[in-house]
Amino acid sequence: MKTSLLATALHAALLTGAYAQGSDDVPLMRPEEAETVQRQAMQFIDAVRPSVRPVVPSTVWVWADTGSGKRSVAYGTIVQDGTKALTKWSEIAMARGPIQVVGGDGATAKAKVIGVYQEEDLALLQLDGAQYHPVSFNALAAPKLGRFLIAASPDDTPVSVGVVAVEARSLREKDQAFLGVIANTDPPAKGLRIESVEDGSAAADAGLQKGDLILSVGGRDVGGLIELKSVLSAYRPGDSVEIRFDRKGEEITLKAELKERGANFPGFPNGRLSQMERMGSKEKGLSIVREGFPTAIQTDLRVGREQCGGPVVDLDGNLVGISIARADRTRSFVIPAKHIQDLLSREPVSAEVAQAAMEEEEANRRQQVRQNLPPQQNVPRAIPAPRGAAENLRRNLEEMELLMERMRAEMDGLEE
Amino acid sequence: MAGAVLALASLQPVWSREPVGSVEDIRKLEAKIEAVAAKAMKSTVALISEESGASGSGVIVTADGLILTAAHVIEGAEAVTVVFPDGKQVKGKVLGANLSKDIGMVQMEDKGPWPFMERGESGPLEAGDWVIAMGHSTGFDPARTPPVRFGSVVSDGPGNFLTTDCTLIGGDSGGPLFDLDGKVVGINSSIGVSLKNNNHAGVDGFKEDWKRLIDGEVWGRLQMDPMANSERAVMGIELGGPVRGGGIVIAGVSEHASKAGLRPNDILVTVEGNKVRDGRALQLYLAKKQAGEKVKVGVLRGGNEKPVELEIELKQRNQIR
Repeated sequence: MKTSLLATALHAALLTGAYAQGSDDVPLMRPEEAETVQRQAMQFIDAVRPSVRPVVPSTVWVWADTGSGKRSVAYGTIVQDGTKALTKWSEIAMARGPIQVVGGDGATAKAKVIGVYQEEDLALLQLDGAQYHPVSFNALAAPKLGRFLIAASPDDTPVSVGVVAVEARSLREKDQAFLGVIANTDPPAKGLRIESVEDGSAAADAGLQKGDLILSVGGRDVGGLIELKSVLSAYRPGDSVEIRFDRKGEEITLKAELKERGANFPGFPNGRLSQMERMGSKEKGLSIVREGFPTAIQTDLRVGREQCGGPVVDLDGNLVGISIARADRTRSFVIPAKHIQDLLSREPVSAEVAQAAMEEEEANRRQQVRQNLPPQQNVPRAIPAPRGAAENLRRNLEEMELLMERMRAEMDGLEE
Repeated sequence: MAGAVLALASLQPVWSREPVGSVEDIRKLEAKIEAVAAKAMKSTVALISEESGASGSGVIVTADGLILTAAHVIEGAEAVTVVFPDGKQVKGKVLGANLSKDIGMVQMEDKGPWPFMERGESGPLEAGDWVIAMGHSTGFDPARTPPVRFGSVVSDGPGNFLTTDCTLIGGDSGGPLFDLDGKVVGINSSIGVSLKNNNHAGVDGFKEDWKRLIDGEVWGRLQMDPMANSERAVMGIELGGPVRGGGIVIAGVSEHASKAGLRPNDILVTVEGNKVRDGRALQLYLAKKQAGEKVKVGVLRGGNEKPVELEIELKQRNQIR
């Protein structure tokens, strides 16, 4: 496969008369296209270099041995008096032996975990042996959709530039408000007919019954399950919401106090568990813990797993937050600066407690995996074009075409 | 290192695309992305097929509710639920689809007026052009708006397709690709392994097939191998063996290629002034072209090189006799 791709690049180079290296990332990319894109990327990175400069001295590599020798497993962000750093807890939780941090100028310090913010997956490190420059919390307003975000690295060259893909939101399951009704999923209609009410749910407590036709929730008309879910996404468990419905021709309005997802309701009982599910799948470059944060900005920043924990800034060089996870092909998450600042005024749990919790979660996860998994959501995949396969198929087709042509030519000859 | 890069850059011709030489340039870019994202949010819908529960994306392009999407999102469905980013659900009727180009249409039953995005042109796009992709990644999610992704065109072609580094994932299919002015220039179609390999159907494809799509016709074949695509452009020549010293023997010609002046046993030596080494290189070159484009070739006949200009055409129309 590798050779055939190289051959493709070479042929392209010959045909266009350019001899620049082709790209096997994109099979049909011409060498001059590859050159344009690369030059543009370098120009872009150079242009945003001044923006990250204020936080480069606050960005460190975190070294630890997590089973494959001592290496940089995450980035860290220097906070408070310059002898403390925040880094990604799940990347160092399994570290054997000492942890060290190294600055871009080479300044090295011994690091000790003095506390863990479990929900944010952030560890607070006490640094011994060097003094660094802490980040400052200036502009704390969360950035708007489409704004540029730049992930800093300790060495002046930014890791990546991306945009705010989705504004800050909670990724915690427990923040999702549920009414507890199962309703028809037919195409949009006027109202939503309740097929059953879950025991102990908000709907049951409020007195909703099977057969009731929900007309509006929180003042918004609902005619489909997605509309109901979308309305509820603006609420948190514990919030009270007004529900207007039709019962046998009579219109009734009542208040329901929303709850968390019930134990019998379809779905995972624990959000963090579902994300840990894929822990063993070893998806390359993805963070172990990549969901369930209490608040996170979604971005298309290409931050590698071992580059999480570092500062992210806007074009003005203001701290936007700390990159916390590489979630998949399209998503990285950033914990907003305001939340980080609030977090630092709170008492973290001890490393031992966090460690024990993580081990328990892991044990639960194993058990969970053994039990039958719920069916995957049926999502159409963008059809991936496997590179080698396409290459082979193409060659086969070409050969077949040629063969057919020859056969046809021979047949024609016979007829005449 | 940075110095070397800058020196190299300064030797290159002046940027024809939006420049990114300074933070100020990038601020201008940012303002445009922000404006496009805010506006496009209202028109970037999820399309959910009631039969299969499958969820893709689409973009509204007229006030009366015409939606452009990918053929593979609506394939086999007659009706879809159109879901707006705020959760609003309305009914949509599936119109036509050209599977070869992976383009399709849906018409909302309620005539609106709906918020829509204008269509632009995909033909002029080339590597380095900034673009913004949107779509309901991994399916509609009520807790989240459709994610915005920014990047640039990394390669144009094959045919009507183009490739960008706006990272896509399942569920994004059928979602829009915008230029910096917020015009729809493409429809999310497929991905490769690399983060740079995100493929979009060019919006120009709709223009060519507009009437058939509106009329509800479904045709073509979904084919991710550009060389096997029935709508790829060809010269209309049958290739023989390579010739020592460069060139390929033309073993047969279509009526069309014959009219342009090519003959069997001519040796094809150059395309657009570049030497032709073998058939694969030629096919790769043609994969980037679209039917109707003119190509200058050089052929050897009786020891003399003769220039020939021919229009390349659709493979399916082109039967070699």
